[in-house]
Amino acid sequence: MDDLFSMDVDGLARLGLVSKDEEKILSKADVAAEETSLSEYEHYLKHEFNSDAIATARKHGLFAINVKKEYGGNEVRPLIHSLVQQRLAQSGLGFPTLYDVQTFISQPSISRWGTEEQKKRYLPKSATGEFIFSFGLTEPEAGSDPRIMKTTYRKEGDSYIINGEKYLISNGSICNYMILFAKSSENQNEITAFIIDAKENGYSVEAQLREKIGLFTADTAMISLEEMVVHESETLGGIGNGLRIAYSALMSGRIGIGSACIGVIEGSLKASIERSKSRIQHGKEIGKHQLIQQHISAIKQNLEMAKWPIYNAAISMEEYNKDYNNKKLLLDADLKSATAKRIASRLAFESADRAVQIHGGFGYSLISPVGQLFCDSRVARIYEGTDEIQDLKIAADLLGKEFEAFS
Amino acid sequence: MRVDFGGDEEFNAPIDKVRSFVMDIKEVASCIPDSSNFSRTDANHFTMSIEPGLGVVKGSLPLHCSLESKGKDNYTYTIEGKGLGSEVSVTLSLNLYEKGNSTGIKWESSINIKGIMGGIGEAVIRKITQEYVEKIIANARQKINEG
Repeated sequence: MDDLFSMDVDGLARLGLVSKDEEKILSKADVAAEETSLSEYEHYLKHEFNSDAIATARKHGLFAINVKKEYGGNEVRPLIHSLVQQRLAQSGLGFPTLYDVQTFISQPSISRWGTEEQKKRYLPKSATGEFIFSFGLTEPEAGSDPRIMKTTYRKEGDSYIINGEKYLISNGSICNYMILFAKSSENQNEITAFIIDAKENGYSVEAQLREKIGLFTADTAMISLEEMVVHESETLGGIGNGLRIAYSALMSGRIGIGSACIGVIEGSLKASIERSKSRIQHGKEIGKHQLIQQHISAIKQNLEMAKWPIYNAAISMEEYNKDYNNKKLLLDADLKSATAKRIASRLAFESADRAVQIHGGFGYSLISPVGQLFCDSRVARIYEGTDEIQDLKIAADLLGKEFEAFS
Repeated sequence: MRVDFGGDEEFNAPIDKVRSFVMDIKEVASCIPDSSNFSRTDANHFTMSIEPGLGVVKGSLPLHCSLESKGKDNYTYTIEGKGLGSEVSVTLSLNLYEKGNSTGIKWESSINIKGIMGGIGEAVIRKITQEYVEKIIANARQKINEG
């Protein structure tokens, strides 16, 4: 097992938070992360989506870990799920972005809000990775405020007809299904979630966004929906419940992205230590220069500051998952996941920046893994809720609903 | 960056045949993927070029290689290369032993990489070298079986 990851797992095991069986799952994630590192690296340089990573995750059963046993999954606890994501992200956020959408956002949405028929239809094949999901919330003019979305649905017989555009959608062009959010054409306050088939008429990929700052191995697409017919049995969670579903998904997704940020910090730290021991300048290893040591120390501090809030949020999420009606647990998990993601994403970006500094000119290149981590980590401060939205959520949770600045 | 590997491979051939193969530097060199320009300096030294299996590092890396016998059925190949902004140094130790009608080879390799290729990251380098070694072993197995 990777040294840094092993230290994390051992530390949690000593606290009684990771069992022997769970360690086996984490070992699989460790092997999968090793196996995907080369394909992620090479596809990154070609600026292309890495489908090899999906095959590797399927081989090691990683898509199954957040699915209930009755639907073919392992049903691991959020903390273990978080650790898997953390390990995968040591090489960058490309595959972890796909993994976040699939396992932190989409599967929990169907598990919690889906009908029994939907669970049976989608969860087993999502657990094997045969079905890949995307999450269609963001639009060109609706990012942090999904209430102003323009995608609409109207009822015709036993179906809904959907029209609109979804933008910056991870997995959008490679998914089998999308959890789509749309607004009633008759009632602007009614937002509903649907499970739509990406192969059906009316779903088209308008563009694949390749001109990104990073995240090149992840698929990012703009999707057009034109007179798309969706049977009423594919509404998710009932009519008008869309925003509740979206917010509950994002709460889990924030733990997913935050966990990935821990991986970025570990990747930055590992590369920096290696570089500091092997690079010689001014007659000695650069690691013997005190200002380099300051960077190393700072990245290690960042790692500690980032990981414990994420683990804590994952533990709170586990409690909330047992009792969805408990508002106190919901607020606790919501506040912790927002806070942890806010901390981890900022520290991941800062750590990757420090790692680039340690690597000098070589670091300012996508050939360098830390260059890739730097470019990837920037988006973590944006997707699954921007820094600013997390700040507003954290403050509103503490001040009270009447202080919500985003209402 | 240093990456260490090892393993134990069985070849379906008598030890004499495997020994002859291992000591024939041209045969061994021909097992290395994406190699060219083999030139024998003497019985135990040769030069050749390889194209590293990395999309980013394009070009040819010239290598100086030598074979040294270190006692009965113990052999060490040393490979050193400099180019493409990188330095590569490989030590491959082979220990042959009889295994019924077959031959076993216990092997250990230590790969040191500096410069651009060294900065690529341990996980990536480990995976590349692992795939490289697997190809070399597969090629050697095929040649021994055919020979």
